[in-house]
Amino acid sequence: MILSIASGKGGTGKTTLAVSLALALDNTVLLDCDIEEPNVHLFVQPEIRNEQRVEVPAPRFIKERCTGCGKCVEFCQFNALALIKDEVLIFRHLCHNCGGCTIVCPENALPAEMVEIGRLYKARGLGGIDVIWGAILPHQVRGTKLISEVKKNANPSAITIIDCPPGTAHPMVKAVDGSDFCLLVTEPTLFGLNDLKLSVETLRLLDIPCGIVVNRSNLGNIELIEDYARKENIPILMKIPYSREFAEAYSRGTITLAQDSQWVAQARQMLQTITELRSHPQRTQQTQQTKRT
Amino acid sequence: MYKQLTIMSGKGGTGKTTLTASFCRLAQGRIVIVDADVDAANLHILLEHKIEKSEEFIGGAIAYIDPEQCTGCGECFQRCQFDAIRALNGKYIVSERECEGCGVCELVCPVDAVTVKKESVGKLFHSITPYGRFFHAQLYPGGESSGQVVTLLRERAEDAAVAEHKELILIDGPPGIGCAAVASLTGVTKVLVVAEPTVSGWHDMLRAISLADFFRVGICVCVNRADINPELTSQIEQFCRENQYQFLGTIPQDDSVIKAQLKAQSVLDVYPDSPASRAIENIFNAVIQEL
Repeated sequence: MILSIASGKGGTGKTTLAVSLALALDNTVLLDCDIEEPNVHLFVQPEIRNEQRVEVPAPRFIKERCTGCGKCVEFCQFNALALIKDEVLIFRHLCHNCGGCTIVCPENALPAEMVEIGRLYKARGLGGIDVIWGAILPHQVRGTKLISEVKKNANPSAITIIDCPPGTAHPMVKAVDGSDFCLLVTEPTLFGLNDLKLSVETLRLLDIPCGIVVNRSNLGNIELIEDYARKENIPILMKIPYSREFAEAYSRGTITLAQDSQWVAQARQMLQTITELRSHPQRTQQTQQTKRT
Repeated sequence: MYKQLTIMSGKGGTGKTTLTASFCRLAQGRIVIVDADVDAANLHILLEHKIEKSEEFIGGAIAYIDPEQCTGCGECFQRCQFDAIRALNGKYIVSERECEGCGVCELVCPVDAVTVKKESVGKLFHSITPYGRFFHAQLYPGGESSGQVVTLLRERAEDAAVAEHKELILIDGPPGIGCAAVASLTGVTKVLVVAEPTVSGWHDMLRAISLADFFRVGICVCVNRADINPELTSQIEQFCRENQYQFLGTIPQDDSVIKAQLKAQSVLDVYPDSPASRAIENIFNAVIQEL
């Protein structure tokens, strides 16, 4: 089973939940798809067994071959090329590495060469769990390839837990796509509720069943989330109260939830509920706002 | 000429929007405001605003293969870098979730079976607040165009700043270091990084700083919820001193922030004398000096 952990808003506790579930449940694999800011590895004491460069083809400009025809600039959908005097400038942070300019150039002045966009790490972490994450290089913005590489490590015979990027844009969709179930972590605040709504809408478009985990459930106003969940018929599967002690331990790199036997029992119960929800799926309601019609 | 300040963090949930909303109050009348966290916009919740105008944003394109014309040669399948072309009954179709609209399939198709269409990816809003004009957006799920939308919001804000002779464009940035983050910080006067004294906050702050350094933007740093881990807060302060980043101060963990947010206001609006409000005011005064 693939269980993804997402949230619209950042900082709600996705990583805390992902790490804790991976430790509390049996036979788990933990994937961190938040490649812009991967954090799972900071909490699992990973012993890295394999580090791999992930590369994509990128154009390299050869001035001697260029006739200044401008076909590459005209083709590029992402405004990543500009013809200034007799030279093509490549704006790397806008380039999607689609390879179009390489194909369209009649003089072969923009041949493709492989460039690194980030690293893929495979490690053995706390409790002997396999932990895989990707980290994109800070000036590279095209991360979907790296997310795919991380997701290739999903294990069909285990519970694969995926820590997803925040937001509801392409990286989040790429990370949750193909999940059997998604846990949406939120907090009982107006920000939490607003971003929860956006995530639910996204998951409905993808037809992925979901449940809610309310973190810091004792701070703010829990009714905000409960009212919404009831109205939308989405189960609240867990509430995790804020504790100063826990926050301080987290700040030092220790997530203590899975050391609490009561919490572990709750986590196992939640897995049971998810399994039942999957075998008796609720009818998913399509939202009005469909992006692509 | 106006200056531009981007609030960013790397890690989500460190308090960017809380800080931005409070800054809006402190700079009332002198600013234009941008919410560049277009994937999970929240600033509008804390700012009393009236939407004056909205515009559809036509962005990300999607390819379509006409099954009548497709001969199943597979040229598009071979060339697509995004695994967006799938085989189906001897022909090929486009998987919309993967397609980035680059147009390579249209370029290489020998029988012109492919068309690439632009579509609406979300809405841009021109709003008015008691503090100044406010530009924000709502993107439809799964969008590929966050960076382009941020660029457009900033252009709108720059026009407004020029027209109304405002001193500062205040930009509430997105988490992460991807295209929306890049679009939020290129060409700005200063970046204010809101860090959090946790191992993940530290790790993500370093990545956000290296991004701002890459684009040669001046960097200021403050630490939110500093008392959660005083040692790590000192480490961040020392790191800033050693690397010539301006360290502007700390904000304590303070329940009044959440209480104010539940009233859809900034902490400075509701609890101006709370420890968090005092600290935010000091950081605001310091960052204004840096611009």
